Amino acid sequence: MIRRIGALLLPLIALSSIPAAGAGEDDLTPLLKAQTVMISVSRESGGTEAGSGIVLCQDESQAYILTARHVLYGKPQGTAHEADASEITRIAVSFFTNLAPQVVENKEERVITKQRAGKDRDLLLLSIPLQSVLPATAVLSTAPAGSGREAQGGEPTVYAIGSDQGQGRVATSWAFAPGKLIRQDPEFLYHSAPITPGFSGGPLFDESGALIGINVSITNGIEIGAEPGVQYGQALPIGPVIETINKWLPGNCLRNVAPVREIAYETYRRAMRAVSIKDWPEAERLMGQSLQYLPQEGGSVHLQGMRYTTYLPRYHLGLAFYKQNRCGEALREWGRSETQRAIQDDKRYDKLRKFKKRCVATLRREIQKAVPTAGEVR
Amino acid sequence: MQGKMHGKQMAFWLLGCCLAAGSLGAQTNDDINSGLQFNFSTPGARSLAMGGAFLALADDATAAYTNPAGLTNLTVGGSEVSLELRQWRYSNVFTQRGHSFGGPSGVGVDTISGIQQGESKSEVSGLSFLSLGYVLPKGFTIALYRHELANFEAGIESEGALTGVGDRRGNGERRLFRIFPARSTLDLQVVNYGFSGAYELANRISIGAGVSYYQLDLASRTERFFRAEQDADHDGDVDADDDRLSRQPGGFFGPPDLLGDNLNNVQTQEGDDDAWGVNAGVLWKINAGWSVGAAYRHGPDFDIKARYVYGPRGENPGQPASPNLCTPLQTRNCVGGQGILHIPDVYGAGVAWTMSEGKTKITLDYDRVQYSQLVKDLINILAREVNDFERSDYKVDDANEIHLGFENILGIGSQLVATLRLGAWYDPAHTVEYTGPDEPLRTRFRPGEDEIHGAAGVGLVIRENLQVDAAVDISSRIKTASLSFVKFF
Repeated sequence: MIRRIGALLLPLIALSSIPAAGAGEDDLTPLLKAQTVMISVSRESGGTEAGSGIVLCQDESQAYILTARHVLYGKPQGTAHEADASEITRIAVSFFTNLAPQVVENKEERVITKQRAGKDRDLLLLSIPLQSVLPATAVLSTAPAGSGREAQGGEPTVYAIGSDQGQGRVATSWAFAPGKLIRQDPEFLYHSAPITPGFSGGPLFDESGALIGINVSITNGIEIGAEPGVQYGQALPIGPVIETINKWLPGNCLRNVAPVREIAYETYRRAMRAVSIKDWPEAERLMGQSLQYLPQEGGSVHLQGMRYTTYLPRYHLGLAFYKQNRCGEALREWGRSETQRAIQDDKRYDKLRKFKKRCVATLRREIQKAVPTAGEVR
Repeated sequence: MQGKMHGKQMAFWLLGCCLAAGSLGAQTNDDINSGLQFNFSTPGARSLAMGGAFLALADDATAAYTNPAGLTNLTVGGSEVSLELRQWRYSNVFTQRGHSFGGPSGVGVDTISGIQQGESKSEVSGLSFLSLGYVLPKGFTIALYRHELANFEAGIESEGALTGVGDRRGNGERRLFRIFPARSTLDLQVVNYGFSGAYELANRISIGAGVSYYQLDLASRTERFFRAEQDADHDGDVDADDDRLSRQPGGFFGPPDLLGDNLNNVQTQEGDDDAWGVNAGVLWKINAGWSVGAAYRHGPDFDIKARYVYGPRGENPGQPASPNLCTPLQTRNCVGGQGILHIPDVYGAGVAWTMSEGKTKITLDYDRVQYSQLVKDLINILAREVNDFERSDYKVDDANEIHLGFENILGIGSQLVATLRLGAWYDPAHTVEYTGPDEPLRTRFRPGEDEIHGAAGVGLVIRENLQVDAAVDISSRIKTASLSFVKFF
C-alpha cells in the first residue's frame, strides 16, 4: 500500500510540471489527462479511428477502462452501421505522456478483455494488462452532476478530455475542452464543451475533477431545447453507468480509486504542517501543489484529531509569500475572489486585510524608492 | 523516600492497618481496603469516551500525559489549550458484618452466616486536566500540563464481622474474633505538573518524553470502637453476667457503639510529599489508516507516615502497639512508621485504525499496570501483626487492562463538526489480598472483582477553533463524568 501511495504521488508531482493546454493551465488538466487514455482502432477496411476512455482503477496486473462501445464496434447494435468485431485488426491503448507503455492487441495476440454493458447501452469495459502504476485513476462524483453550482445559480463548469484526432483521423494528443453543463436528465448530460468524435468514450469531469459522465455523442441544440444549430456534447451520467458495470469490476476497484480531492487534501495537510512550524518555503511549495490538484477553495479538510479546517491553499500560499517578504505575489494570490469569499466570515479575513494593508504599504515604499525624484533626473 | 507503600495497596494497607490495629483480639478493619482508587485513565473527555484507548491516536494535547510522542500531531493543526473538569462517584465496598471461617454462634449480632458487604458512596469533582500544547519551529512540540492522577474521598462505618469458631473466652475449635466496628475517612489527592516534548523522526515515527513533578496530599483516620474486656462488669469473675454484657452495644457480640469512650484505637496516615516521575512514548503512523503507539509512565514514590495509638478502651491508652516504628527494612516488632507509597508504573501499546478521511476511528490499547508495586514496601500497621508480619502474605496482581474505543464523525459543516464516541475497557481486580494463615486478616483483605467499564461521549468542534467534549465512564464501582474544552490556535 505504501509503495502504491508513493508510486502515485511521485508521478503526480512530476505531472505538476507538465504544461497544460488552454484555459486549464493552472488547474487539474494534467491530472485529468493522466486518467484518460486514447484508443485507436484499425480495421481490415484500412481505416483507423480514435476514441477515448477513462481509467477507473487498476490492481496488481490489470487496468479497468471505461469507454463507449461504438469506439470499437461502431454504431450501437441494431443500427445499420455496426461494425463486425472480426474486422478489427489492431487496438492500441495509449497513456498520457507515456505514463505507461502502450497496450496493443492484434488478431494474433488478444490481450484486452471486453465486457459489453447490455445490448442497448453504449458502454464497454476494457481490462488491459498493465504493470505500471498509474498516477491517477478516476474519482467518482459523489453528488449529482452540477448540484453544487446550480444551487448558487449559473451553469456548472465541466471539462471533457479526449483524443485530439488532428488531421486524417489519427489521434495525436490529448485535448482539453471546458464547457458548461447545459441540461441533464436521467439518461444524459448535455454540455457545451466542444468535443469531437475523438472524445467518444472519454470522460466528462466536474469542476473539482470528479468524473460525472462518459461522452458518447454530439447533438444539435434544437433537440434539447437549447440554442438551435449549436452542437452540444452528450454524456452518460456516471451513476447509472457504474451501477451497470460494477459487477465486472474487482471488489476493491471503486474503493481504490485515487481521488484527486484526497490527494489534494493530503498535500494540504502537509502544507499546513509547514505553516504550523513556519517553514514558509515548504508551505509555498506544498500549497502550490494543492492548488494544482484542486484549485477550488472551500470544503472541510481533516487535519488531525478533531481538527478540521477550510481548504484555503490560495490564502495560505499568499501567507507563505507574505512571510517571505514577497508582497507582490502575496497580493496576487489574495486577490483571487474565492479566497476572500471563503474566509469572509471568520477571523482570518481580518488578518488578511491587515496583511494586505501592510503589503500595499510595503509596495508603495518600494515604488517610491524605485521612482527617481525630479532632482535625481536632473 | 524510603519505605513507601504502594499507592492503592499502601492506602489500603495503611487504612486497613489503622483500622485493623487492635490489641488482644487484634481486630482490624479492612473495610477501606477496596476504597482507594487511582485514576490511571487517560485525561480528556474524548479519551474517556473512547474507553481510554488513546495510545496510538494521541492526537491532542492530552498526549503530553498519555503518549508524549503524539504531541507531534499538533504540528499539523497548531497549538492548543485544553481544560477538563471531572466528577467521580465512587462506590466503596467493605466488609460490613457477618461471620467467616465458621458458622455464627447465634449470640447477640453473631447470627449471620458468611460476610455481608457494606457500601458507601462518595463524590469528588475538580479540574482534572489543564494543558498547553505549543508547536515550535523545526517541528518540535512541547506541552505543559497539570493532571490529577488521583482524587479520592471515602468514608465508611463498618459493624465488624466475626471469624472463627468458639466462644469469646477463647474456648473452641478455632479462636473466635470480632473485627472491631470502625469509622474511617480518607482523603487522597495526587497532582502532577508535567512538561513533555516530542519530535517527528523520518518515516512518520515520532518520539516523545516528559517529566512530571508530583504532589501528594493524603490524610486518613480510622477509629475502632470496642470493649474487649472478658470481665466486663469488673467483678473479678468471667461469668454469665459478663456474657450478658458482651451482647450490649460495644460488646463482643453487641452492635457497634461508636462513642468516644468506647474508642479502642486510632490509626492515621499522612502524606504531604512531592516526587518526580517520567514518561516516554513512541508513535508510528504506518499510513493514513493505521498507527501504532506505545508508552511508559514511571509512577512516583511518596513518603507517608502512619501511626497507631490506643484509645481509652485500648491496652495502653495513648501508646502505640509497639514502641518501634516500621520501615521498609524493618517489618517485624514494629507498628506504623514511615512507608513509601509507590504509584504503580504503567506501560502499554495500542493500535488505531482510521477510516473515511478521519471520520471513523477504532482504537485498541493494552495497558499493564504494575499494581504489585503497591505491596512492595508494605509496612505493618496492625497490632496483631507486630510480631508476625510477613510482607509476602499480602499481594496484589499487576493488571492487564484492555481498552477499546470508537469514534465517528456524525456531520461536518463549516461551523460545526459533531462526533459520537463509544468505548469499553476491562479493569482487572487490583485490591490487596491477604493470603496468609490469619483468618481475620483474610476476612479483611479479600480479593476484589474484575470490572468492565462502559463509556460514551459526544464532541463538537465549533467554528474550527473550539472543541467541546462530554463523556461518561461507568462501572459498578466508579462513575466518571467529564467535560472538556479545547481551544485551537
